[in-house]
Amino acid sequence: MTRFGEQFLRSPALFPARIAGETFGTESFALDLPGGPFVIEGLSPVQLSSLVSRYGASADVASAVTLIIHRVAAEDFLDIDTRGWEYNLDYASADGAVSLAGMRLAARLDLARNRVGIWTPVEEPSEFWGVVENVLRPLVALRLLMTGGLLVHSAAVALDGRGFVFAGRSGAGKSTVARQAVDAGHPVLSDDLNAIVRENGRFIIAPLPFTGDLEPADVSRVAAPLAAVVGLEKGTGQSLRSLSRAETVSLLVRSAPYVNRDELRLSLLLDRAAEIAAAARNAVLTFRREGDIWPILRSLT
Amino acid sequence: MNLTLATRLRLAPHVRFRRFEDEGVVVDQASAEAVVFNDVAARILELADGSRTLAECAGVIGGEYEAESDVIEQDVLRFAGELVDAGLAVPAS
Repeated sequence: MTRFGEQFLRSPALFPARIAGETFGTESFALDLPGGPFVIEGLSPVQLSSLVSRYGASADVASAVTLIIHRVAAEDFLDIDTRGWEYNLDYASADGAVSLAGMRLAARLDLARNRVGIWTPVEEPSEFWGVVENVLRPLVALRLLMTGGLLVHSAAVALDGRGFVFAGRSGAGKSTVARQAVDAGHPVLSDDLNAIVRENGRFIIAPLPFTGDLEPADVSRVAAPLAAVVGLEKGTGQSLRSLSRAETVSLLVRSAPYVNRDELRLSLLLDRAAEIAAAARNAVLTFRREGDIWPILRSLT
Repeated sequence: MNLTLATRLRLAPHVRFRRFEDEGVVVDQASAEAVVFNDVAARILELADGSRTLAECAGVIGGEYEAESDVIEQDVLRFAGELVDAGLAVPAS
């Protein structure tokens, strides 16, 4: 087991203890996402163009979580042979702040002050938005948990206007379900990460720009009220069985990236998963790739 | 590790337990796993707070469920061993 930062940083002991340093420029970009909004500052014009190409025009927001981009030397990061490498982040949580280290990035998330520092040498437009997104994903996960919601590794589909979250890790069948939904004309919010947020006393699935295999044109930007949490099992037949409260909590916890490895947030995560499980229908869908799963899912609501 | 009925057990520091009706969920931060346990196992996990010996845990279980006391003691010992082997519980010092 490696210590925090060892696989990415040349000198993990020099990880920034406070959010400070030279920025790339004076441009800024705002993103209105669940858990936010977020304003990214300290950008060069090239970095700004990278974010606009990924997320569209800058949003108009008032108060926000501020992310400040700091320039550091490329030599501060270790070279990584990415052949066969599955992307991962080092994550460490302590005293109200979360530290992240990844490929050509280090970040400090000061959750109490709603300030985030990102240190990177990357300015290249094709790579820069990925640096930001690799920090945004855990940041959204943490902010959602803190504000009554949950980020779930899942596919989410609006079936007759009701939101179904198909939770599970890689290989569970999320992409298959999402593709079947697109083919059947049902709106898909994401095939990778979805935000469950609390709004007016109920849970809704809110769109996020974090998708897996789906093209942007296949993704819906319309929120849907949460109706069901569904686990996935690939099989030769097709069936639906109810999940108990404990089984649903287990599914949601296993599918809650970043925060399910954060010892300081496990109790809150259990509480939140239980609240969501109590508010939705819960089931496991056994399905086959070629099947029509929508009739059996309609029976769940 | 050899556990005996005199051993006091508690959850590992990176583990959280929560009961939901007649089941329980154990979350292991180290692996991001969340395991569901049945009613009796959940009761043992509730009792394993470091203050009771496994014999005392078995005594409480025996008062709540119908089974021979020696069978309960062996089941509690076996389950405790599985928890320790899985890194979910540790002997309390």
